[in-house]
Amino acid sequence: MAGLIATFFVYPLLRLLVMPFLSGHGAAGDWPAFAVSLLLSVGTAIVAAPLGALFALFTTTAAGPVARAATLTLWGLFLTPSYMLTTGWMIIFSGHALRATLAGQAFFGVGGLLMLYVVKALPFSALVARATLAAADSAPAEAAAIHGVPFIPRVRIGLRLLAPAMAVGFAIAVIETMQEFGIPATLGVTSHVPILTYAIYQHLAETPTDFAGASILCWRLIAVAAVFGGLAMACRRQGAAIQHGRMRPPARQRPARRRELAFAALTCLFALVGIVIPVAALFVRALQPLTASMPHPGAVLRSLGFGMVGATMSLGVAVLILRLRAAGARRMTAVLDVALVANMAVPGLVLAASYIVAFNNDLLPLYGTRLLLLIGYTAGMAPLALRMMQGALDDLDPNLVAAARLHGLPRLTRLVDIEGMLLIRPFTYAYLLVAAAIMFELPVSELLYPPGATPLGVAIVTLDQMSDYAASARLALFGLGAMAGLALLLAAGVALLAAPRRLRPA
Amino acid sequence: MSAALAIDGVAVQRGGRLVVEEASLGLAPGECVVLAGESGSGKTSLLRVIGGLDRPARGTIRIGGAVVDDAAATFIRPESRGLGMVFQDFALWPHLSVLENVAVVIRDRAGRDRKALALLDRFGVASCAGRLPATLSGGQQQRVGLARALAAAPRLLMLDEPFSSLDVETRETLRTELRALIVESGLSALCISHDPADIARLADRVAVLEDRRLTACTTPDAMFARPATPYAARLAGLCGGVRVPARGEGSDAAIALGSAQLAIPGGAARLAGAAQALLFWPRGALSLAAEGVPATCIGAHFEAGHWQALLRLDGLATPVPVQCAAPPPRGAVALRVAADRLHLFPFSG
Repeated sequence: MAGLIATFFVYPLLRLLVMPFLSGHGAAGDWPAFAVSLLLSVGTAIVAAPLGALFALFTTTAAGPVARAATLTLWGLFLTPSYMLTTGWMIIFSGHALRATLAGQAFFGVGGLLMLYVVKALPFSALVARATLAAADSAPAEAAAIHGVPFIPRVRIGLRLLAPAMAVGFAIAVIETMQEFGIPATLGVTSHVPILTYAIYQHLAETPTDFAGASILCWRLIAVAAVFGGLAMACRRQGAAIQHGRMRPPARQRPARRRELAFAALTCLFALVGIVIPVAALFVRALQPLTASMPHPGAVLRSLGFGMVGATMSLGVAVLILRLRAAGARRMTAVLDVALVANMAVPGLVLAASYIVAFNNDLLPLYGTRLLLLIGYTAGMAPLALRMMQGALDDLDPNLVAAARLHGLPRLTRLVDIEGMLLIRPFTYAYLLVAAAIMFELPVSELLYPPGATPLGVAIVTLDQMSDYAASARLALFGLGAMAGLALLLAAGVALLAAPRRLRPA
Repeated sequence: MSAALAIDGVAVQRGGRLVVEEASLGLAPGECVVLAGESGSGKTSLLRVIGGLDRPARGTIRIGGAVVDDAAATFIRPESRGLGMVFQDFALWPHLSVLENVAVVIRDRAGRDRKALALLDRFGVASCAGRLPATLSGGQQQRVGLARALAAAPRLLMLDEPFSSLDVETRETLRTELRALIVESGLSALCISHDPADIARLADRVAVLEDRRLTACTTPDAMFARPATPYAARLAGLCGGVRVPARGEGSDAAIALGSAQLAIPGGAARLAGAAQALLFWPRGALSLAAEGVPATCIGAHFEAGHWQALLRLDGLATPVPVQCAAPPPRGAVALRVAADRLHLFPFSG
């Protein structure tokens, strides 16, 4: 495992990041791209963090249909690929009449970028804030209510409790927006707004290739992630100070009507802007008659295959790491933890760029192969897979496995009928999430796809850049359909496998 | 005949910290031993080591005469030790039906379901066989847990605080059922608990784990007559735990109970030079009388068939509980003390 981490994480990143120092490349160009990206990221976080914290508070404390819809919307926004969201909106504003309006002009500029960034950052802010709030005790809010604390001081107490969650949400929103690639690759290109991630891609994709220039920009990206990641970790620790062993999770109650209506409106707004309108636009444009033969016909199935193989590899790595951790290999665990934290700070784009530098030589001629693409997907998705599997294992009562051993169940029965069946649902969920993320992945695909094997994300963005929105919409919808089909197939299989045995009448 | 369980000089480490030191304990066939101890005293750690879920740092464990772990090369895996276990949180497999939970641990495939149903029937939960554990009450789930433990045809039954998450009524019923089962089946059982009622109803012997050591292993009546520690006195059902000034006077001990000085025959050795002592007594050793140690009754409450008066005595921070047949008057009373029935323990606080 240590060898794999060294070969596919440490070595390529070192190769990429030392380039400016070795080549003496001192040109600190692309500052506008960095400045615009940072400003946009901070602006996005200023909007997304409080909204995310409010969504988090509402979805962790409120019961009822609006809370359920809000949770569903957050996950929908999280899972919608950013370039599909952008494609949908670009279809809407690509009509001459709408493009000429004030809204159209704003969309094809910083305003459009900010709107889409906020939509994409909201679920990240809300989900990390939820993790902070879910661990918090309900006692302070209950104590304030019981002791008749007036409304304003109660709000102040609530805000102070929310502050760590908001700060973590802010930091995560900045990092995610800085690292976002799908929106700059579509709307950013059309709008001619310089964005850091796309500038890195341009350094690598255009001739002559400028690895050292790309490396300098990668340093800036990683520096921002490190600064804001440190802030997030510090805020999390501060949040943890209010936790204690005897806490109860906040009780879910149906909120007051006014509050519920406000959140219903907010949820509707984000569901419309982030899911319904862009997907509807894709549908409408996809139904328009074909003007030419369908480009990239194999991209959907190819990316579905990449997703399935990549998810298997990512989850395999995650399970291996968790087994090593459980076995108590302390030094290895420490190495893995450092590598995983570092991996999260390094966006897929930087990792893919480092692979080009590291594996485009006679020693390890992997560049341009499907294997390297799959390794890139696996390395990028391993932290997500690991976190999901760790969560599933943490939820599993160790006594259930201990009971199987103590009662003498054979190894195969324990593995299949007990551990396997108990973990099959979260495992399938993690598998589908990782497979979907890989299927619609963009930056690693853009930089590492082998000739003749265009992945789905690359095909859609290429068609967008050629303004062939009908073909791109069809590909996007076929992709979503294929993923839904896989999800249905796996869900049916799991339901069949995990159903308890019916008792035959005596 | 070989002991059902013999642990010899077992030490257990968790996270680099010694949680059990040099524990030695034996279980005769058909015997039920309750392993008692406060929270965090290492009871569950010891049970996990006996079960083979963790390894001991030192010592030897034998089950049915065979060494299953010697903290070195010999280690028999949990699944090969022939154990059954009832868990505090039931640990029923949530995705399997009640019948499957029991049937899956029966080794002989022939007639598995029939045997499982018979066991469920024995514990009165056969009608739940087709249901998932989550749909059962706590008492029903623990009955299924017991049926599952027996389905493994164990050489040794281990119970980890089996009644602690049940309501009073279910706890009482299940205790009686379990005791009957152990007696009738001749099964050896090791039960972890810190509930004095479990000791009273289940234990042939009680082992007490305190400060990482086994401080006592005796019968409940012997523990009541001669408790080794204050915790054992409390477990055995003695009253008190009151801190009093004390000193040695020759071989006797003198304690100050309010304004009175009492001599405890042969108590100096038990005091071990301490200036304060914890005082325990059996019911009836302290009573209200016309004459005795002056005290003030600050209140009384009714408890399980008798009245319990709370007396304030000069110089004692804690009120002294005393049983009486009728509700006592508030105010000045006199306390009669049978000094020869008092148990003293040194207190160094």
